[in-house]
This record gives sequence, structure tokens and C-alpha cells, in this order.
Amino acid sequence: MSRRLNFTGRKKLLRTSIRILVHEAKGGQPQSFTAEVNIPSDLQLEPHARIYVEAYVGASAMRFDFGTVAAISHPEDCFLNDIDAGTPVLFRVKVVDETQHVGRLLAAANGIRPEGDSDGTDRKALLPLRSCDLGEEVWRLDVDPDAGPTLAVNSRIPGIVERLPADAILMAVIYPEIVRQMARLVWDTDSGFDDDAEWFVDWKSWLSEQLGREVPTEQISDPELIDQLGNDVAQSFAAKHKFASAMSRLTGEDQP
Amino acid sequence: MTKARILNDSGLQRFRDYIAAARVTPSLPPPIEMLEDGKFSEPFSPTVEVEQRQFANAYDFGVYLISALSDCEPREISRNHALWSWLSLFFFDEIAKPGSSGARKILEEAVYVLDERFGFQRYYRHLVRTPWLAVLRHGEMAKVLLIASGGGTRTEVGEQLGAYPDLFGCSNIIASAYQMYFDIDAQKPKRGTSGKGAGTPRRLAAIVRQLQLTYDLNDCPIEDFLKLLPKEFSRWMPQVDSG
Repeated sequence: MSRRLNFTGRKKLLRTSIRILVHEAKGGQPQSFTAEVNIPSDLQLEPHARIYVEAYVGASAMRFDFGTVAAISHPEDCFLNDIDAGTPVLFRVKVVDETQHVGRLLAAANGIRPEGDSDGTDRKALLPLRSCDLGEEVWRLDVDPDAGPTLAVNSRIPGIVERLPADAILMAVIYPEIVRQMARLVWDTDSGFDDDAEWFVDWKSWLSEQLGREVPTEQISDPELIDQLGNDVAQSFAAKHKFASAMSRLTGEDQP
Repeated sequence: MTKARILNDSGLQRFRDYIAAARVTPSLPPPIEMLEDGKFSEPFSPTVEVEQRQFANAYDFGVYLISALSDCEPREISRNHALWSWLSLFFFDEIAKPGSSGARKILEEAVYVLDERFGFQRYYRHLVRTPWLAVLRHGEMAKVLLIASGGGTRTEVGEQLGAYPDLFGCSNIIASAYQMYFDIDAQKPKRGTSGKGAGTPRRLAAIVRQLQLTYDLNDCPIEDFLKLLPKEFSRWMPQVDSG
């Protein structure tokens, strides 16, 4: 369902105005974050309006008071001790007018991913990469309705973030399956995601390019057709990158 | 008492296979031997002991789980799909009660085997984790999410609000739903809470999603939140004691 009603002139905070860094848990302390929030003056927001940064994973959420538009202040304690472990944390920023009984939202940004070493300033990566403690899992695809997909890799594996882009085996095992899952998600009418979301549109376009043939413009409901599309696009992607050949070379048994 | 474990990949797959098979053959016994078999499950740390019991409803089950898992850090176990799936198999007779013939009514896989990807459309239906999480977050108010009429496993409020993690986690919205839709005297949902019509939980979820675009509902007092709701909810409004 698209949620685009905006009767009160609520303004959109651009993600370029917000920089969030998550610091991994260490020394017995949970994850924490630091944030730079800049409120552009051209938004003309009330100076006394309060700024909140909310961290969330599923139903677990924490709220941090960042002062007011006129006087932004970073709280000292930004530990994410109530946020579910095992999946990357996301953020939303709200600017709230609290002069009435119920706070009115003046501006907001949702589904903000923290910056990571892996994607630096590339804020529009199709598949941002995050490392977090995944127990005994090596990787996982997380899809947030607002922020889109994230590839989470296990921070227990030393150097996995750096190794992934250059490791033919890891790439061959992980990426085609991600492409398959994303294709199913994008074309399945039951996936429930907003097909106007920026990340959704970007993925649909990219998947279509990978497939290299005409694809349905609308979502589809036939599970077999969805599976077929998923398999086709994964196969096409793998063929383009010659994953099996690369793995064969590594084992010294190149394909004929 | 039994020490809780986690299902490994083989155990999870076999549990899924069992669910699929039991939907065809409802009298098929669950593979409880996996609970202790090292081929299918592994020890869990910290040590947690659980025991088979009968629970009056999912709320009581949630209260029990909070106590049984009290030595665990909630944020550490909340997304441990292997633990929740093991617990699901352990309590299978409770969450999929066999009838007198031994046949069970088997629901979709996601209510027993927790989706490791936490696909937002289904994970909230898990019959062990969700009672634990609901009671953990909302205490007594979780009854509106967990206690179904006629001993069913799903409540309309749980279905409608549980699908949105930010609503499920918002204490004042759940507390409002408790005041509106739960009959405290009868300890069950009020009559008429199901359906798609005006004032139903389905409409509440839709309205709250719209209100969230305009208002900051996190710190909103319950009485102020209730005042924001349109007239269609008037029949559910808590009665103010004028005496």
C-alpha cells in the first residue's frame, strides 16, 4: 500500500542531511551509534521543534533526543542495548512540534542505513553491505520495507567485508541466491512491498537488465512463474560473471 | 525439566519437512527425537530449562516463557530462529494440540519454524516467539494480542497490528487496543472485533498508519491518541467513570 497522504505539509529530510555511524559492540558494551543531523534552513522548520533519532530492528526500537532545530545536541549515551541483535539496525529521524498535546511531525526521514566501511559515501548502493553478529550463519539478506535490502555478513568471520568483493567462492555462493530472492520479491504480488519505493523501482530495473529480455511490468501471482523468473535471472547473472568457471580455476580444474 | 537447545540446519529442514507432511497426514507424530539428537540440534548457552505444561492461552504461555528465559538477554535471543524453532518443536503438543484421534490442525510453516530472514509478512505469527515478545513488551496489555475467543491461536488485533513491527512495538497503541477491544471482566476479546468493517482492528491498523504520517505517536498519552481516532471507533472507546 502506498502511503503518500500528506495533509499537513510534512517535509522530507534528505538522507544526505543525515550521517549515522554504528560502532560495533566491544569490551562488554553493546553497539552504539553517532549521528550528524543537519536541518537545512530552507525547510524553515520551527526552531523549537524537537529532533528525535530512532533506531529500530523489527519491533525493537530506541529513541534518542537530539535537541531542537535551533540547538541540535548529540546525547552522550547512544548505546543500542534494547535493539535486537543479529540483523543490521536502521534509523529514522523525526522533527516534532510538541507545542500541542500530540506531537506533530514537521519533517522526517525513514529507513536510514548507517554508513559502513564497505559502502563509504555511496548512499545509493543497490545492495548495501553490513557486518553484524549472525551467530553461525555466514550471510543473510534483510529487506526493510522502507530502506530496501541489505546484505548482512557475519562479523565473527575476520575480514569478510574486505574479502567478499574479491573472493570468487563467496561471491559465487552468495550473490546468485540474493538475485533469485530479490527477483521473487520484486515480482511476487504477495510480497507486500510498496512498488513505488525507490529501492523497489531500482531493483526491478536492474533485474530486468540482468535478464536481458522482456519482463512483466506488473507483479505476478503465479508461484511457478515467479520461481521461473527468479531462476532465470539468477542463472543469467551467474553466467554473466562466470562464477562456476572462476571456482573451477581456483580448484585447478578449469572447465573445457 | 529439559535443557533448551537450538535446531541446526538439518533439524530445521526436517522440522519443515514434518510440517509439510503433517498437513497432508495430520496424525503424523512430530519428530521430537530431534530435540536431543546431536545430528539435528545443538546445545544452547546460557543454560535454560523448560518443561512441558498446559497453558490456558498464549498469554499464559508468554508469561511462562518470560520466566523460563529470564537468564537470557532478550536482544540476544529475539532473532535466534534456531532457538525459537526448537522451542516450537518442544512445545508442539501445546501449540498444535492433537485431537482425540491424534490428528492435529497444522497451520502454515511460519507459525512453527521461525523464518530466519524474518520476512515481515509472516514471522510475527510464530506461536512461541510472539507470545514471549508480546508479554515482554506489553505485559498485561499483551492479552489483546494473544487471547483469542474460543481457544483459537490468532487474534484479530495480533494479526492486524503484529504485521507492522513499529505498531506492535508501540506501547501506547497496544495499550489503546487493549482498552478498546479487550473485555477485562470476561478476559477475552470483545464481541465484534473481527471483520473488515468500521472500527475494527483492521481499520485501526490502517488509521494508525495514516496518523503516523502526521503525528509523533511514540510519546502520545493514550487518552490523546484515542481522541485522534475518527468516529467509527466510538463504540469501542473506554467508558469514562463519571461517578
